Amino acid sequence: MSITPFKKRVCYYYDSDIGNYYYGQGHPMKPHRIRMTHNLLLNYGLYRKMEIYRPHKATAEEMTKFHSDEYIRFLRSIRPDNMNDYNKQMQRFNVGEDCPVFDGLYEFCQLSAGGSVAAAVKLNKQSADICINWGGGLHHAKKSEASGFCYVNDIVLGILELLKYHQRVLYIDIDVHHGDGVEEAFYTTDRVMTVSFHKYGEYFPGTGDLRDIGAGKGKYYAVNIPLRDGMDDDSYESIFVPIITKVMETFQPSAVVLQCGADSLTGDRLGCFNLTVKGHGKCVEFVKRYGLPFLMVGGGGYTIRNVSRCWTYETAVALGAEIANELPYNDYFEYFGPDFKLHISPSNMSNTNATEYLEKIKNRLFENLRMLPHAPGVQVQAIPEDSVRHESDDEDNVNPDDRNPQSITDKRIAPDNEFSDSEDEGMAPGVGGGGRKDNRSYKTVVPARKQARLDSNRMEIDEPEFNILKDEKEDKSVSSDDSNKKDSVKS
Amino acid sequence: MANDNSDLKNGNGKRPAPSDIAADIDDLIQENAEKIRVGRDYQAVIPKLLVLPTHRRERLNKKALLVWAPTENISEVKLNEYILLSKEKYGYNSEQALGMLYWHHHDMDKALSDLANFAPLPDDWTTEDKLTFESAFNSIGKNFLRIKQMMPDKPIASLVKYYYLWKNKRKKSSVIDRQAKKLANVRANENQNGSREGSSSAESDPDDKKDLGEGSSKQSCSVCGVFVTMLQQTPKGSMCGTCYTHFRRTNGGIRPTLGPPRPNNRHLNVARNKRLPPRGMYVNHDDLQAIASSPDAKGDNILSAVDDEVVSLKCKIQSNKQDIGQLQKKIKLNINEYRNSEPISPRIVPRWSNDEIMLAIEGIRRYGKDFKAIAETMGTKSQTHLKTFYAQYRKRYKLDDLIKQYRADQCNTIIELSDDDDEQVSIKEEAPPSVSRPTTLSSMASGTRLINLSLSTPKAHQTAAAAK
Repeated sequence: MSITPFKKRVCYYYDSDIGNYYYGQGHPMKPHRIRMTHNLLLNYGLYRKMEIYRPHKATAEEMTKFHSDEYIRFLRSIRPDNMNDYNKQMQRFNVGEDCPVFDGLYEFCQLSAGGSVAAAVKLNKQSADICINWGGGLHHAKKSEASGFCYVNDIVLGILELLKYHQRVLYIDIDVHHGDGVEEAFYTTDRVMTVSFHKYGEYFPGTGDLRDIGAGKGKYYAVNIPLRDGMDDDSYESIFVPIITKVMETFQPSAVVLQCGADSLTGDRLGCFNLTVKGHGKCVEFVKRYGLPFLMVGGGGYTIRNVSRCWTYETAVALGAEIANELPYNDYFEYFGPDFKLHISPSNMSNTNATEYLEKIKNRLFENLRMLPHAPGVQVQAIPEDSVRHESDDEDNVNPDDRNPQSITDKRIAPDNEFSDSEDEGMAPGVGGGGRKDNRSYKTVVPARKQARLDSNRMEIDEPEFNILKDEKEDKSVSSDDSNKKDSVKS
Repeated sequence: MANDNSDLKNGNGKRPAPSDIAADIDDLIQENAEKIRVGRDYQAVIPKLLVLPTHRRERLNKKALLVWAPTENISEVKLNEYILLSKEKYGYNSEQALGMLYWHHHDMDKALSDLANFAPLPDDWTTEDKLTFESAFNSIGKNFLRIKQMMPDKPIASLVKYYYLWKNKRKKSSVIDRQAKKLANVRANENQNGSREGSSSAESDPDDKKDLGEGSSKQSCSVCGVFVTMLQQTPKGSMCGTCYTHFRRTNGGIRPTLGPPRPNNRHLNVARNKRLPPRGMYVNHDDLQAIASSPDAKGDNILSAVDDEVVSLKCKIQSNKQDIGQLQKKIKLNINEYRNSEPISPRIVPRWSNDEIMLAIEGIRRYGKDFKAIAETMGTKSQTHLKTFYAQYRKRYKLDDLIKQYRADQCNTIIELSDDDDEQVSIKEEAPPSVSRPTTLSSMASGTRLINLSLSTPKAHQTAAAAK
């Protein structure tokens, strides 16, 4: 189905406005790092190897699939100039200190969430192997509460989207902070396993104890790996690889979400680990090998030059492209002095994670994972009725006239058809401008000639054969997974 | 964080976790405040798994706008040319250029002809805007809300964007700052020794004129950088009058020179410490005059043209560096291939190379007639090969003498070499230098010679061992 069977089809979500939001003076969170990453990708020539999407702004309705109505309403209405009217609510929703009110706060949340949701939808459509949204990964946000620089939990929204088409979704978090927002959202379900590697002990957010394993049906479906200061590449790999291998074996997810928080890198302003870009990227490489639908999101990262190095490298890893250690010239070149290299060296800080300590954690977690039923089945009684309504809502919004041609253009049968996809998603030629087009207006853009071609495509579609092709592809990916697993065990 | 709102949307529908589960766990959560909370106010509502035929999947709403998709119809080189052209001719950045190409479904000709119609707007930041921003930033700091009050026509997003680009440039100038300071210090020391007169090229920098006044023979103070005619020599460098007084009064203290922040004071700092442009920087006199005499528009043009040139040169430098890096990597890879292939699969070749002959001779010296051991060490010859070698070259290389020597070593008796053995010794001595020569060479050099080094090291070890 894909044009190049060996390379992964990578889709990248980015909105050029996202770098322009500013949390406030002295605040360590800088959305600008996403633009720096983007600029590096562009100058490394990685940009042209991916499908580039400009995500829509997530609507309030989409965000309330997880968050409470009241909280989203609050985020939508609060501004720096009317803050004083909202004192009580600000306290209740934990907005003010770590999570300040800044200009464009709601739009920022919309863009970040919109990217992850759009990426998840893309994976559901099976028209991409890997989707990347560096603007996402805000893993601390709770259902009705902001926390740790995060307001809207784009990861939860993305996973909820994936759950519509995937029985089991695995969430992995390599941020130095515990992924508490995501863990809490899925604490009682067995359809999402959350695995978080984080610094634990007198450290934000304070959760993530080894003994926190989930509750109710979700017991044993939350995996926490508490670590100490100074984790280096080797120790990290020594714990990441066996645990993820075991999790993949027992949980058998059909999609993976990886939060690539870059504050676990050495020299981070807030972090205390000692990972290099290579060591961090190895996690991406390892997860990628399983060949499952793969959503990569950003997250923490407060030494922005290293964050953009890291995410650039990880984009290259996702693409399977080699990139030079020398950085190309870019708009923010001087940020990368004095060496102007991609890779960074670890510091001489001592690693307080003894091998025995890591071994003990590992064995304890293996014991927990043994308690899992092998590949849990569908929990039919757990299906909420209202989500069906949401789904039909989505479809009702579609103009019935648009539906047929759109569904047909989406089908990727011949490479020639690849381009037809562009016709309805194409951007207006007004460079730098061009807002998102909804289905209604797209129709006026497509010339009549193309419409005719789409119709002719419809005639050629052979439904059964189509399905067979897909099955074959899945079989292949499974077999390649097995060999990959063996390789990884060897190494 | 008890949320007692009853109209929670997500709480209304039928929920996956029945309330008895929540109650079950309730006592677990109480023990620690910083635990994951369980309850309808905290967990997400898990959607139903939709088991749909494939075609229903395709109907999912699109949630993003595709602005670029990779293509295999256009070669990398052509794409680069296109991007360069659109940049130079119409001022597109590469993202915009690719967007245009994609809009035309990767049709290069169409995109090229359309480029002119959608040329991006030039930067809407005028010089005044930039100056206002700088002075606002210097007095207010990074409070963009307040900066916006001073520049009401700019949205905050635009301010933030400019700030990050400008910060970049400011760093650039501070590098020059440092360099200029360093040069000034060096020069001050030189002046102290009387080895060098004050520079005469001060007029090359228009900013300097203001500070320098009429003369170019003035010298700069090493503390505050002020140009004066009289310098006081101190153990901490030459100083102007004010600094010297401070130095004397505080018993060797250096006068603090950081005053209250002034708008544009970074420009002054650069100028104050700079008498010569940094090494490798040349100033075109005509351009300078043009800048100084004509209204600012022309000067700006010259400056921006020079800036563009600098950027393109930097691009070239980086891409050259990348090429070098790639080549170096290749070299290393090649070595590894060679290294791995040798021990794992030593191919037995009947032909004798010079190196092998030398190895065999050394081998005989070391192991005597133990051909099996020699064959194992060499890896590229079989036992029989070595036997025939011995038979063939016995006379020519005086192998018997070597074996004698070997036996003598074995018996731990030292046989004095007679003059007759000269020839044999010369052979023996010939071998090690010819082998070790590349080693010494490569220790001096790097890069391509790396190969020599790695190739010769194993042999060098063996000869060293043999010499023992």
